[in-house]
Amino acid sequence: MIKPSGHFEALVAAYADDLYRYAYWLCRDYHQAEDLVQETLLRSWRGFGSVRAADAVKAWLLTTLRREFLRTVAPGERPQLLSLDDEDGALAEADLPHYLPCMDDEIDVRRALERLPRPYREVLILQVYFGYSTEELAAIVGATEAAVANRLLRARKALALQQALNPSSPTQAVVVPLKRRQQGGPK
Amino acid sequence: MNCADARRAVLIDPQRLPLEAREHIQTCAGCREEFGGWLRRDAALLQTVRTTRRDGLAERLVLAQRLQQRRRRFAAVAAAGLTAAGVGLVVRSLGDGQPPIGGKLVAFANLPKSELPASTASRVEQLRKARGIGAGASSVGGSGVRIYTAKWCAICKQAKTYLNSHGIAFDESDIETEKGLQAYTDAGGGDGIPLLLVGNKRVVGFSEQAYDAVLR
Repeated sequence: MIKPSGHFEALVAAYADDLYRYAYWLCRDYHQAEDLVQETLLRSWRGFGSVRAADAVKAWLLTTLRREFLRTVAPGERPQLLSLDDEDGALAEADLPHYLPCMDDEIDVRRALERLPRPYREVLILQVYFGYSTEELAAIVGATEAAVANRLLRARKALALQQALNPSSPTQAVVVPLKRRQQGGPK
Repeated sequence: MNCADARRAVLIDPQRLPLEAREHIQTCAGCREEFGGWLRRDAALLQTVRTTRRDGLAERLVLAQRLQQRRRRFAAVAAAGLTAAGVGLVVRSLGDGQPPIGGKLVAFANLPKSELPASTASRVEQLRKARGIGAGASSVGGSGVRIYTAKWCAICKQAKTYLNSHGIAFDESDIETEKGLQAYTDAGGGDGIPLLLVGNKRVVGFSEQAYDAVLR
């Protein structure tokens, strides 16, 4: 069994910054994010005996932090996700603009990311920044691979739509009238 | 693979495209352009997340951990100090001001016990005076586990059940016999049963916590 260094300082140096990045994009509050990281590291400090490989430590910490965050969210405040079988509210592939303006402006990227619903935002962050596959993401967020794939797909669609409707540069804007499927409107 | 399927694969994970999707993108200019756009967008996302940080975070986390350790150490010391003070108070209150000869009473507040019948208590007092043993004092010491009980005492049965279930060998004296009552008196008994002797420690009454403390 591999254990991290016995010094708390080494633990902080190795994982605190990345944990903070994930925590911030979960809750979008600087102070709450720091509290989550602190709670996670202090709680996890004595629990590393159950972690069997060094490369699993980060995933284990992220999962623990996520659980800590969910404890702070009242059930009524948790966003309702569309079910996997319910496609009526989703945009059809053909509805998206074919020309995707590049998000050069960091402010636009940050705004677009903050506007995403949390379940979409967190899987996107975990994939793009932490490099996890859909299989690994499913284990961290406690969902099926199919559900994770659906969230990623919708996250990127939503980002593209935001960029199309809120262009940083008017010369790059592509205005596309949205078409909905005839079976039903969005929820 | 057609354009719709390739596009879906790109939207799910542009860094881990299935082979069919990669082959399609190589042959389709439109999908290739879209794929390139998503790689650039993901790069912008990566940079945004990377720049999310909090100055001084590491220092505050280490400080919080040290404060927590200090609080825990202080709480442990305070608890140990209270226990020692409690034992000292009980010892001083027994034996007409005389320290016990043997058998240090271990202090546990309000342990369930059976009171001695009046006649038995009176007999204990007589024996104590006859043997010159002060109240609460004990002339019994040594090793081993001894328990002083009575057949009618339900709490004594619980104590013996505890000892048996934990595989602890013990000697038992029945205070309803003359010999047992004398032994109980010599052990400093008088304020209830069961009375447990473990080396130089005495416990009047029974609780699992108290017995855990003296036997383990």
